[in-house]
Amino acid sequence: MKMTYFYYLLRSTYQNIRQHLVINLISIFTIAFSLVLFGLYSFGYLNLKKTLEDWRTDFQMIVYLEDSISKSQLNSLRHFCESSPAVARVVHVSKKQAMQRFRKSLGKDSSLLRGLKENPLPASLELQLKNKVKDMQAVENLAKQIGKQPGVEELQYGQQWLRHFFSLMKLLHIAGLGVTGFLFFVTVFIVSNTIKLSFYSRRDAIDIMELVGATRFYIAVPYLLEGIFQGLVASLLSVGAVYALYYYLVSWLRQSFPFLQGMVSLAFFTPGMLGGFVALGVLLGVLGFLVSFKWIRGS
Amino acid sequence: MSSKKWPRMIRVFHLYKSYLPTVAVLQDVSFTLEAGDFVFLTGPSGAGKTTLLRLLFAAERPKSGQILINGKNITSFSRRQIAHVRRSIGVVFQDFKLINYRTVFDNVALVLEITGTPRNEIKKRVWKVLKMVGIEQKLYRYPLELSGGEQQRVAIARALVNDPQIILADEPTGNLDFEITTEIMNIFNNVNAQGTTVMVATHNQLLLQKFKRKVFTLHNGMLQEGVPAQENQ
Repeated sequence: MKMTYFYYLLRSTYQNIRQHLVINLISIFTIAFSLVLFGLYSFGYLNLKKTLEDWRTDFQMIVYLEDSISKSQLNSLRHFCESSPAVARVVHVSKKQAMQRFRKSLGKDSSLLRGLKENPLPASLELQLKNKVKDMQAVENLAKQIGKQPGVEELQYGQQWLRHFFSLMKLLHIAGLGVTGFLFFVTVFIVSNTIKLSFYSRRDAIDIMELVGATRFYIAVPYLLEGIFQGLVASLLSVGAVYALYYYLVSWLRQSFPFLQGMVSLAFFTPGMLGGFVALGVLLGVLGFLVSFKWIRGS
Repeated sequence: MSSKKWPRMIRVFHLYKSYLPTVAVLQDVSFTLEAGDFVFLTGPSGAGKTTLLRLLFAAERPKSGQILINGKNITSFSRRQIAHVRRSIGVVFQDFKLINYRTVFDNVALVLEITGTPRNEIKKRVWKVLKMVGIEQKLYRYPLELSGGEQQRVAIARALVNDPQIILADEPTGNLDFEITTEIMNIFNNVNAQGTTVMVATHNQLLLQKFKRKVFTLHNGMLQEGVPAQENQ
């Protein structure tokens, strides 16, 4: 009995889709188009965020040490830095190492350093910050605390650059949330209107089904399944379309800007994100169904 | 006819219905129909025939009054309960109300599908009822490929396939010629002979004269029993 009932619901869904193929195709392409827009935006957002975070990985805070710093002061400072939750790695650069680096960086011009009687470069601790540090305040607090430690002469951490970086990330997050929310509501609006159109064309059929004693459940389920079907097909189509665009973009970048190779790498969605994308398509189909079914029963 | 032997199928008590506060469509309508009754509901256009039928299959709710279908008061029924009551009532409309994108078979089968009847059983019963109304050869046609008379037969088959206790027909022959009208009325007569209560709303006086049956006349929203329409106008 239950299985038979379920079979009729599935059959009714199939009949609805087959008989309203054009409306279904319109709905599918509307959802797919919205998802492609959303996908392209997410793709852009993801890669911009990744690029910015890659740049930040190279960022260091350099703690210049006084020449008079004792060994125990150095050890305690090093320990202080390492125990900070914001610091990923601490490297000690002695005065000698600093000079060697400087000489190396000068290359052919290193002969200029021959006249120096003593090494003017200070020893330092190079701190690499963790990616989880999300705002400028945390970096400034860390700098302030380290600055108070004995033996510290000066701190350098690209304040200006870092300030810009965090502002940009903040803007990206806010814009990301805003654009995502906006695209989502616009998509639900478009999808529900397309489904409304399809409901409207079948309003008589819905009335007739009610007249012969069909329950709301029996009437609604095929439309719900139709919405899920539309969302599923549309999301698969849009994933394909976004991947094709990604593939084309990567090939084009490789051919047109070979010097960028290794500097900029584009990432596609992870399997988890792809799953989320398909789920979003299905959710859109279901939401579109709910909005339009509520509308048609209320009118 | 005793009410014990013939259960009261439809009982209506002091029914009032109005769409505008000042205009009453039905006023204090009361009547009883027993199982196996056949009644014509007549009256001029706008007299409230369609409204009365719509109230009987719970497409609308009355302003006041009670409607009992097979002993159950449907005026206070929930949407779900109404759906179940409708399964015991076959309704036929002047405009057929068929789903145009479903075949004749699927239109008729719908009534059984919603109750979860097994597929084999549906096939047998749909075939039997289509044969009864004489349209079994058009099983896989779509409604718009059929004539008006054929579409009405399909609508009647749909109303009958679930062996309903009551048939309500709203101007079922309004758009059809007299020959087809007679054939359709004969189908209703046959169904009625098997014990189904039939109520046919019509303003066709020829029909009332040809088929001598009990007549309910609606005039200005009030019902008079057993009065032929021409005497009232």
